[in-house]
Amino acid sequence: MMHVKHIAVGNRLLPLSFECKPGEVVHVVGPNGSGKSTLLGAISGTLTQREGVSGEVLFDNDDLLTMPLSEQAHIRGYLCQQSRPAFNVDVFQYLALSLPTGANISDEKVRDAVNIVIELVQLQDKLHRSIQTLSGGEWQRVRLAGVCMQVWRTINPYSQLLILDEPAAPLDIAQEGLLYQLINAVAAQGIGVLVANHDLNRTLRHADKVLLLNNGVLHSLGHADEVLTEEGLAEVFQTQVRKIVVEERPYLIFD
Amino acid sequence: MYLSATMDFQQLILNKERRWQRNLLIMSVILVLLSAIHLMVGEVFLSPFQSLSAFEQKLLLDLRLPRLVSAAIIGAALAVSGATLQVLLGNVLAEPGVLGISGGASLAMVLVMFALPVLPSPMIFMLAAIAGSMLFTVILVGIARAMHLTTARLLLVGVALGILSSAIVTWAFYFSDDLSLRQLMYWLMGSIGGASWYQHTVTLVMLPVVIWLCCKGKPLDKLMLGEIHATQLGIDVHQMRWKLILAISILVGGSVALGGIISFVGLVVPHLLRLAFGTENRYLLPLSAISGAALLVFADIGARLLLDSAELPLGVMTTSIGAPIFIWMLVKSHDAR
Repeated sequence: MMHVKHIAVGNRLLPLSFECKPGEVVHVVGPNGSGKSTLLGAISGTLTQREGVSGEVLFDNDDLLTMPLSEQAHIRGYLCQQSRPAFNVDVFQYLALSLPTGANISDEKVRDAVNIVIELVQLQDKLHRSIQTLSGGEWQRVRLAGVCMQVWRTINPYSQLLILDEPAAPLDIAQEGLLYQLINAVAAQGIGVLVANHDLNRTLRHADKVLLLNNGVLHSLGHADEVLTEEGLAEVFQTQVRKIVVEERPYLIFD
Repeated sequence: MYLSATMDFQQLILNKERRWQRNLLIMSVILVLLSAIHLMVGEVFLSPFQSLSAFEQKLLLDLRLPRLVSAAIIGAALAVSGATLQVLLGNVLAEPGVLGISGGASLAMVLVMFALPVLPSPMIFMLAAIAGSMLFTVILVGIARAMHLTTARLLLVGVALGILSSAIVTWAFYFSDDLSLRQLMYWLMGSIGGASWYQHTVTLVMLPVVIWLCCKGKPLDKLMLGEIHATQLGIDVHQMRWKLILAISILVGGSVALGGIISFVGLVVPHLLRLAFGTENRYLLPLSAISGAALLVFADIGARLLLDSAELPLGVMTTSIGAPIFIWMLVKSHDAR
């Protein structure tokens, strides 16, 4: 169980609190510049007090933000927005660096976990490639695989939370499907998943809980149906939104 | 499918590690062979199979051996600090010489020479050189981070810093006709001809730092993937950066104090190793150290043998070898995006 209490970042993000149960998928939505990435960075512990972070991220009454970084790395995995290193790193090398500290590649459990994740993102035939030669979508799948291995329960018993900052941005629609399968697989292990997302229809379908941010302020919080309403979205995004039902599933359409 | 992917992942990692270990072994053997040649050849050839006369023993122990140690430690220090600096700046073309850090060291040494009435001891020289190189490293890292500089810009800022320091050094030379300053000039061209055991107090400081850096491969591997990512993987990037800057400054300052400005070793060695074998810093750093030492020992053999009754400064040798390779690297711009 994660309790985020009064987390705030200078004047970019005003204090907000919420909870995330084990295995719950929480989406953070809002316009560009509304503070989604700032919130995720603050919860991940990679933004520090120097950047004006205050508040607590509690797991069983232990504050993640005051732990040493090496312990934090065991409890949460954080995928920041797209960045590619300047060096010629091989895919398998990148993945090996993402394994939790102490995991040994000759261990049976580690091998199984690695295989399941590689299978889920369909990277079997890309392991030997240099990351410089990958397309944007391939590189994003490598990063997703890495961060999932970091929190995969069978090889990291301490993991509690996976944070993904706009993971779908460079993916095509088929790959996006893989992403949501991967998120479900992680959540099924009892790990909370926190996702910043732009595709509101995906949020409507896949989120257990939604945080709608506007200008660094929490606009509303709750179940997707309650938060993603025509009025609420129109107010925050300053555009016309309609909710329609096709084959008994709700969809949002925009101007 | 499951099984094949498992085999692949494990197999790929093990194969790569085996390859690195083999390369480390080969390079070590090459270094030992070159060192042996370095000790044997020269104006007087020393044969390992004959007993040495008193003169020959003195030649070996008091002239050639300290010189060999100088070449090896400078090569190792520069190559390792080049490799580290490349990771630290996220830039495959970073190098202490090109970026003007060695210039900072030489500038500080010239200033000390002017400020003090007597000829300073090697220890004072080294401290000045370290302070100078540290100041320039901090300026560079600060600028690179604050302004998010691209490869080209960063190199330009470094080159500008280098020009600035050499301009001030030139002013200093112009306004003095002191003999010691002319000696200093020769020394700044990069020469280890006058190496003595006394100077190797500096080596005693540098050697542990080289070894320490070689052991930092794991965190550097993560740092190489990007600062935010390294932080989330559990590396205290801020603290790490300052430790690395201090280590690089000690190594570059120490190298300049020992042998003057010797360019391109820190650039060419790690870069070519990366191209040939990969980017695992755990193995790349020790391999860079050994290869850098081997390259400088080789260059010093050349410096002593190429001219008949004279010898070339070591810096001239490395610059002549390194500059064409550097131009080729810039033109091809391999993995620098």
